[in-house]
Amino acid sequence: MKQLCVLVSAWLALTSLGCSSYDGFDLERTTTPPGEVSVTSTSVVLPQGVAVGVRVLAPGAEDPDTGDVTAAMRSSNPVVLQIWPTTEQNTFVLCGGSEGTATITVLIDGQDDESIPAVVGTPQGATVP
Amino acid sequence: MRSVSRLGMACFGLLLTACPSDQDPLGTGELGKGDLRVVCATDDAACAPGAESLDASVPLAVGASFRMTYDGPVPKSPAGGLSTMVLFSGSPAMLSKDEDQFIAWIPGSVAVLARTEQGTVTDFLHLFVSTIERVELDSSDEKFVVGKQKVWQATPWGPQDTVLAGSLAYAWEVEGTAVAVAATEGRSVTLVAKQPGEATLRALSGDAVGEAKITVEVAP
Repeated sequence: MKQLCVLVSAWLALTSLGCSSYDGFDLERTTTPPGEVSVTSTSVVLPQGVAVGVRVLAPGAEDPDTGDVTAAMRSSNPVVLQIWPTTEQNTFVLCGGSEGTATITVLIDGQDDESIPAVVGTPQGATVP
Repeated sequence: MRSVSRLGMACFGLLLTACPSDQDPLGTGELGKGDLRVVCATDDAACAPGAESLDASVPLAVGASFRMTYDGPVPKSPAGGLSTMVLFSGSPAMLSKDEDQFIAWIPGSVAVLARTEQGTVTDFLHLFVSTIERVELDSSDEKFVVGKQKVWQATPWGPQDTVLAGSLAYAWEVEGTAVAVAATEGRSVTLVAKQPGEATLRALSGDAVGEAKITVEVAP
Protein backbone atom coordinates (compact mmCIF):
# COMPACT_ATOMS: atom_id res chain seq x y z
CA MET A 1 0.00 0.00 0.00
CA LYS A 2 2.86 2.30 0.90
CA GLN A 3 4.51 1.58 -2.46
CA LEU A 4 1.28 2.40 -4.29
CA CYS A 5 1.05 5.76 -2.46
CA VAL A 6 4.63 6.55 -3.43
CA LEU A 7 3.91 5.68 -7.05
CA VAL A 8 0.74 7.79 -7.18
CA SER A 9 2.50 10.71 -5.48
CA ALA A 10 5.38 10.48 -7.92
CA TRP A 11 3.00 10.38 -10.89
CA LEU A 12 1.07 13.43 -9.58
CA ALA A 13 4.30 15.33 -8.99
CA LEU A 14 5.64 14.55 -12.47
CA THR A 15 2.33 15.48 -14.09
CA SER A 16 2.18 18.81 -12.26
CA LEU A 17 5.77 19.52 -13.28
CA GLY A 18 4.76 19.11 -16.91
CA CYS A 19 6.48 15.87 -17.78
CA SER A 20 3.69 15.02 -20.20
CA SER A 21 4.38 18.10 -22.24
CA TYR A 22 7.30 18.86 -24.43
CA ASP A 23 10.93 19.55 -23.74
CA GLY A 24 12.47 20.87 -26.94
CA PHE A 25 11.77 20.96 -30.65
CA ASP A 26 13.52 21.07 -33.95
CA LEU A 27 12.58 22.28 -37.42
CA GLU A 28 12.99 20.00 -40.41
CA ARG A 29 12.78 21.18 -44.02
CA THR A 30 10.38 19.10 -46.08
CA THR A 31 11.09 20.76 -49.44
CA THR A 32 14.20 21.87 -51.32
CA PRO A 33 13.70 25.53 -52.17
CA PRO A 34 15.84 27.52 -54.62
CA GLY A 35 18.49 29.88 -53.28
CA GLU A 36 20.14 30.30 -49.91
CA VAL A 37 17.67 28.99 -47.38
CA SER A 38 18.49 28.08 -43.81
CA VAL A 39 15.95 26.69 -41.34
CA THR A 40 17.02 25.73 -37.83
CA SER A 41 15.40 25.88 -34.41
CA THR A 42 17.35 29.08 -33.72
CA SER A 43 17.10 31.03 -36.98
CA VAL A 44 15.38 31.14 -40.35
CA VAL A 45 16.83 32.82 -43.44
CA LEU A 46 15.25 32.80 -46.89
CA PRO A 47 15.04 35.08 -49.94
CA GLN A 48 12.00 37.17 -50.82
CA GLY A 49 9.53 35.16 -52.87
CA VAL A 50 10.86 31.77 -51.79
CA ALA A 51 8.73 29.26 -49.87
CA VAL A 52 9.88 26.28 -47.86
CA GLY A 53 8.01 23.44 -46.20
CA VAL A 54 8.91 23.01 -42.52
CA ARG A 55 7.94 20.27 -40.07
CA VAL A 56 8.05 20.92 -36.32
CA LEU A 57 9.65 17.98 -34.58
CA ALA A 58 9.12 17.68 -30.85
CA PRO A 59 11.05 14.60 -29.74
CA GLY A 60 9.87 12.95 -26.58
CA ALA A 61 6.69 14.97 -26.47
CA GLU A 62 3.58 12.98 -25.84
CA ASP A 63 0.06 14.04 -25.22
CA PRO A 64 -1.61 11.55 -22.85
CA ASP A 65 -4.83 11.58 -24.90
CA THR A 66 -3.59 11.49 -28.48
CA GLY A 67 -0.04 10.33 -28.08
CA ASP A 68 0.91 13.29 -30.17
CA VAL A 69 1.54 17.01 -29.97
CA THR A 70 0.08 19.83 -31.97
CA ALA A 71 2.48 22.51 -33.08
CA ALA A 72 1.60 25.94 -34.41
CA MET A 73 3.78 28.67 -35.89
CA ARG A 74 3.08 32.39 -36.02
CA SER A 75 4.84 35.27 -37.72
CA SER A 76 5.18 38.63 -36.01
CA ASN A 77 5.15 40.31 -39.44
CA PRO A 78 3.16 38.44 -42.12
CA VAL A 79 4.10 41.06 -44.72
CA VAL A 80 7.75 40.01 -44.34
CA LEU A 81 7.25 36.35 -43.49
CA GLN A 82 4.07 34.41 -44.20
CA ILE A 83 3.39 31.18 -42.35
CA TRP A 84 0.69 28.82 -43.61
CA PRO A 85 -0.47 25.50 -42.18
CA THR A 86 -0.59 22.55 -44.55
CA THR A 87 -2.70 19.43 -44.71
CA GLU A 88 0.06 17.56 -42.85
CA GLN A 89 0.00 17.86 -39.07
CA ASN A 90 2.77 20.05 -37.63
CA THR A 91 3.95 20.95 -41.12
CA PHE A 92 3.93 24.54 -42.35
CA VAL A 93 4.97 26.61 -45.32
CA LEU A 94 7.18 29.62 -44.62
CA CYS A 95 7.28 32.19 -47.39
CA GLY A 96 9.37 35.35 -47.76
CA GLY A 97 6.85 38.04 -48.65
CA SER A 98 9.20 41.02 -48.64
CA GLU A 99 12.68 41.92 -47.44
CA GLY A 100 12.97 42.49 -43.69
CA THR A 101 12.97 40.74 -40.36
CA ALA A 102 10.29 38.97 -38.37
CA THR A 103 9.98 36.73 -35.36
CA ILE A 104 8.51 33.25 -35.54
CA THR A 105 6.72 31.98 -32.46
CA VAL A 106 6.45 28.24 -32.16
CA LEU A 107 3.60 26.98 -30.02
CA ILE A 108 3.50 23.42 -28.77
CA ASP A 109 0.05 22.33 -27.65
CA GLY A 110 -1.06 25.95 -27.59
CA GLN A 111 1.76 27.21 -25.40
CA ASP A 112 4.39 29.72 -26.50
CA ASP A 113 7.54 27.77 -26.68
CA GLU A 114 10.24 29.77 -28.36
CA SER A 115 10.79 32.74 -30.59
CA ILE A 116 12.97 32.34 -33.67
CA PRO A 117 14.40 35.33 -35.54
CA ALA A 118 13.75 35.26 -39.29
CA VAL A 119 15.45 37.25 -42.04
CA VAL A 120 14.01 37.63 -45.53
CA GLY A 121 16.68 38.72 -48.00
CA THR A 122 16.76 39.98 -51.58
CA PRO A 123 15.07 37.91 -54.30
CA GLN A 124 17.03 34.86 -55.32
CA GLY A 125 19.16 35.28 -58.48
CA ALA A 126 18.19 36.72 -61.81
CA THR A 127 19.83 34.00 -63.90
CA VAL A 128 18.06 30.88 -65.03
CA PRO A 129 18.73 28.09 -62.50
CA MET B 1 -9.15 -23.70 -60.80
CA ARG B 2 -6.94 -22.22 -63.51
CA SER B 3 -9.20 -19.14 -63.84
CA VAL B 4 -9.13 -18.64 -60.07
CA SER B 5 -5.35 -18.82 -60.21
CA ARG B 6 -5.25 -16.26 -63.05
CA LEU B 7 -7.62 -13.99 -61.15
CA GLY B 8 -5.37 -14.24 -58.12
CA MET B 9 -2.29 -13.37 -60.14
CA ALA B 10 -4.10 -10.43 -61.77
CA CYS B 11 -5.15 -9.12 -58.35
CA PHE B 12 -1.60 -9.49 -57.09
CA GLY B 13 -0.35 -7.57 -60.13
CA LEU B 14 -2.89 -4.82 -59.53
CA LEU B 15 -1.85 -4.60 -55.91
CA LEU B 16 1.78 -4.26 -56.93
CA THR B 17 1.08 -1.50 -59.45
CA ALA B 18 -1.11 0.31 -56.94
CA CYS B 19 1.55 0.31 -54.27
CA PRO B 20 2.00 3.99 -53.30
CA SER B 21 5.75 3.69 -52.85
CA ASP B 22 6.09 2.68 -56.50
CA GLN B 23 4.14 5.64 -57.86
CA ASP B 24 5.45 9.01 -58.90
CA PRO B 25 4.40 11.98 -56.79
CA LEU B 26 0.96 13.21 -57.76
CA GLY B 27 1.97 16.44 -59.35
CA THR B 28 4.39 19.25 -59.84
CA GLY B 29 3.88 20.77 -56.41
CA GLU B 30 6.86 20.73 -54.07
CA LEU B 31 4.84 19.16 -51.26
CA GLY B 32 4.03 16.30 -53.65
CA LYS B 33 0.28 16.73 -53.26
CA GLY B 34 -1.00 18.65 -56.26
CA ASP B 35 -0.28 19.88 -59.73
CA LEU B 36 0.24 23.58 -60.42
CA ARG B 37 0.74 24.68 -64.01
CA VAL B 38 1.09 27.81 -66.11
CA VAL B 39 -1.74 27.93 -68.65
CA CYS B 40 -0.66 28.39 -72.26
CA ALA B 41 -2.20 31.54 -73.71
CA THR B 42 -2.47 31.80 -77.49
CA ASP B 43 0.21 34.51 -77.55
CA ASP B 44 2.68 32.71 -75.27
CA ALA B 45 5.93 32.35 -77.23
CA ALA B 46 7.20 29.52 -75.02
CA CYS B 47 4.21 27.25 -75.64
CA ALA B 48 4.33 24.66 -78.39
CA PRO B 49 1.35 24.82 -80.79
CA GLY B 50 -1.64 23.13 -79.18
CA ALA B 51 -0.02 22.85 -75.75
CA GLU B 52 -2.35 23.53 -72.84
CA SER B 53 0.17 24.20 -70.11
CA LEU B 54 3.82 24.87 -69.42
CA ASP B 55 6.23 23.21 -67.09
CA ALA B 56 7.15 25.42 -64.13
CA SER B 57 10.83 25.22 -65.12
CA VAL B 58 10.24 27.47 -68.13
CA PRO B 59 11.21 31.01 -67.07
CA LEU B 60 8.66 33.80 -67.33
CA ALA B 61 9.38 37.28 -68.66
CA VAL B 62 9.36 40.33 -66.44
CA GLY B 63 6.16 42.16 -67.36
CA ALA B 64 4.40 39.00 -68.52
CA SER B 65 0.91 38.07 -67.42
CA PHE B 66 -0.33 34.49 -67.18
CA ARG B 67 -2.88 32.25 -65.55
CA MET B 68 -2.28 29.17 -63.44
CA THR B 69 -4.28 26.08 -62.62
CA TYR B 70 -4.28 23.80 -59.60
CA ASP B 71 -5.27 20.16 -59.71
CA GLY B 72 -4.96 18.19 -56.50
CA PRO B 73 -6.50 17.46 -53.13
CA VAL B 74 -9.16 19.86 -51.92
CA PRO B 75 -9.76 19.72 -48.16
CA LYS B 76 -13.24 19.91 -46.69
CA SER B 77 -14.45 23.29 -45.53
CA PRO B 78 -15.78 23.78 -41.97
CA ALA B 79 -19.31 23.69 -43.46
CA GLY B 80 -18.68 20.18 -44.75
CA GLY B 81 -18.40 20.77 -48.50
CA LEU B 82 -15.21 21.09 -50.47
CA SER B 83 -13.18 24.25 -49.90
CA THR B 84 -12.69 26.81 -52.61
CA MET B 85 -9.04 26.81 -53.60
CA VAL B 86 -7.16 30.07 -54.03
CA LEU B 87 -3.87 30.50 -55.89
CA PHE B 88 -1.71 33.30 -54.56
CA SER B 89 1.75 34.75 -54.87
CA GLY B 90 4.40 34.27 -52.19
CA SER B 91 5.55 37.85 -52.80
CA PRO B 92 3.01 40.26 -54.33
CA ALA B 93 5.82 42.76 -55.04
CA MET B 94 7.53 40.20 -57.28
CA LEU B 95 4.40 38.60 -58.68
CA SER B 96 1.09 40.39 -58.33
CA LYS B 97 -2.34 38.96 -58.98
CA ASP B 98 -5.24 40.75 -60.65
CA GLU B 99 -8.36 38.57 -60.59
CA ASP B 100 -7.12 35.33 -62.17
CA GLN B 101 -4.05 36.79 -63.87
CA PHE B 102 -0.57 36.82 -62.36
CA ILE B 103 1.84 39.56 -63.47
CA ALA B 104 5.61 39.15 -63.01
CA TRP B 105 7.44 42.29 -61.87
CA ILE B 106 10.82 41.39 -60.35
CA PRO B 107 13.37 38.81 -61.59
CA GLY B 108 14.04 35.80 -59.37
CA SER B 109 12.34 32.74 -57.93
CA VAL B 110 8.86 33.29 -56.57
CA ALA B 111 6.43 30.80 -55.08
CA VAL B 112 2.83 30.34 -56.13
CA LEU B 113 0.78 28.60 -53.45
CA ALA B 114 -2.58 26.83 -53.49
CA ARG B 115 -4.62 27.23 -50.31
CA THR B 116 -8.13 26.91 -49.02
CA GLU B 117 -10.15 30.00 -48.10
CA GLN B 118 -9.44 29.06 -44.49
CA GLY B 119 -5.71 29.30 -45.16
CA THR B 120 -4.47 25.71 -45.41
CA VAL B 121 -1.82 25.31 -48.09
CA THR B 122 -2.16 22.11 -50.09
CA ASP B 123 0.85 22.64 -52.31
CA PHE B 124 3.11 25.20 -53.98
CA LEU B 125 5.86 25.58 -56.54
CA HIS B 126 8.45 28.12 -57.58
CA LEU B 127 8.39 30.01 -60.84
CA PHE B 128 11.43 31.75 -62.23
CA VAL B 129 11.07 35.27 -63.57
CA SER B 130 13.74 36.65 -65.88
CA THR B 131 14.46 39.95 -67.59
CA ILE B 132 14.06 40.07 -71.36
CA GLU B 133 17.51 40.22 -72.94
CA ARG B 134 16.32 40.62 -76.52
CA VAL B 135 13.23 40.48 -78.70
CA GLU B 136 13.35 38.74 -82.04
CA LEU B 137 10.93 39.50 -84.88
CA ASP B 138 10.17 36.72 -87.33
CA SER B 139 8.04 36.34 -90.41
CA SER B 140 7.68 33.94 -93.31
CA ASP B 141 10.21 33.86 -96.15
CA GLU B 142 7.48 34.90 -98.57
CA LYS B 143 8.22 38.06 -100.57
CA PHE B 144 6.41 41.17 -99.37
CA VAL B 145 4.88 42.91 -102.35
CA VAL B 146 2.88 46.09 -102.65
CA GLY B 147 -0.77 45.66 -101.71
CA LYS B 148 -0.19 42.47 -99.67
CA GLN B 149 -0.25 41.91 -95.92
CA LYS B 150 2.26 39.96 -93.86
CA VAL B 151 2.46 38.96 -90.18
CA TRP B 152 5.50 39.38 -87.88
CA GLN B 153 5.75 37.74 -84.48
CA ALA B 154 7.81 38.88 -81.51
CA THR B 155 9.66 36.35 -79.33
CA PRO B 156 11.16 37.40 -75.98
CA TRP B 157 14.50 35.78 -75.10
CA GLY B 158 16.08 35.56 -71.69
CA PRO B 159 19.55 34.55 -70.49
CA GLN B 160 21.07 31.32 -71.85
CA ASP B 161 19.04 31.55 -75.08
CA THR B 162 15.75 30.65 -73.41
CA VAL B 163 12.41 31.74 -74.81
CA LEU B 164 10.51 33.43 -72.01
CA ALA B 165 6.93 32.49 -71.19
CA GLY B 166 3.85 34.59 -70.50
CA SER B 167 1.79 37.14 -72.40
CA LEU B 168 3.55 40.43 -73.03
CA ALA B 169 2.21 43.77 -74.19
CA TYR B 170 4.11 45.15 -77.19
CA ALA B 171 4.21 48.64 -78.63
CA TRP B 172 4.84 48.58 -82.39
CA GLU B 173 6.72 51.23 -84.37
CA VAL B 174 7.33 51.51 -88.10
CA GLU B 175 10.06 53.65 -89.60
CA GLY B 176 9.67 54.45 -93.29
CA THR B 177 6.74 54.84 -95.66
CA ALA B 178 6.95 51.50 -97.42
CA VAL B 179 4.70 49.75 -94.87
CA ALA B 180 1.94 50.57 -92.38
CA VAL B 181 0.51 48.68 -89.41
CA ALA B 182 -2.77 47.02 -90.37
CA ALA B 183 -3.48 45.21 -87.07
CA THR B 184 -1.86 44.07 -83.83
CA GLU B 185 -2.78 41.17 -81.57
CA GLY B 186 -0.67 39.91 -78.69
CA ARG B 187 2.84 39.31 -79.98
CA SER B 188 1.78 39.56 -83.64
CA VAL B 189 1.61 42.55 -85.96
CA THR B 190 0.15 42.60 -89.46
CA LEU B 191 1.77 45.02 -91.87
CA VAL B 192 0.46 46.15 -95.23
CA ALA B 193 2.93 46.95 -98.02
CA LYS B 194 2.22 50.45 -99.31
CA GLN B 195 5.03 51.07 -101.80
CA PRO B 196 8.37 49.58 -102.85
CA GLY B 197 11.29 50.36 -100.55
CA GLU B 198 12.81 49.68 -97.14
CA ALA B 199 11.26 50.00 -93.69
CA THR B 200 12.15 49.15 -90.10
CA LEU B 201 9.73 47.45 -87.72
CA ARG B 202 10.28 47.73 -83.96
CA ALA B 203 8.57 45.89 -81.12
CA LEU B 204 8.98 47.36 -77.64
CA SER B 205 8.19 45.50 -74.43
CA GLY B 206 9.41 47.09 -71.24
CA ASP B 207 13.06 48.02 -71.80
CA ALA B 208 13.53 45.44 -74.54
CA VAL B 209 13.39 46.30 -78.23
CA GLY B 210 13.28 44.01 -81.24
CA GLU B 211 13.96 45.24 -84.74
CA ALA B 212 13.46 43.87 -88.25
CA LYS B 213 14.43 45.32 -91.66
CA ILE B 214 11.64 44.97 -94.20
CA THR B 215 11.88 45.16 -97.98
CA VAL B 216 8.79 45.80 -100.06
CA GLU B 217 8.93 44.82 -103.72
CA VAL B 218 6.77 45.81 -106.63
CA ALA B 219 3.96 43.46 -107.48
CA PRO B 220 4.89 41.06 -110.31
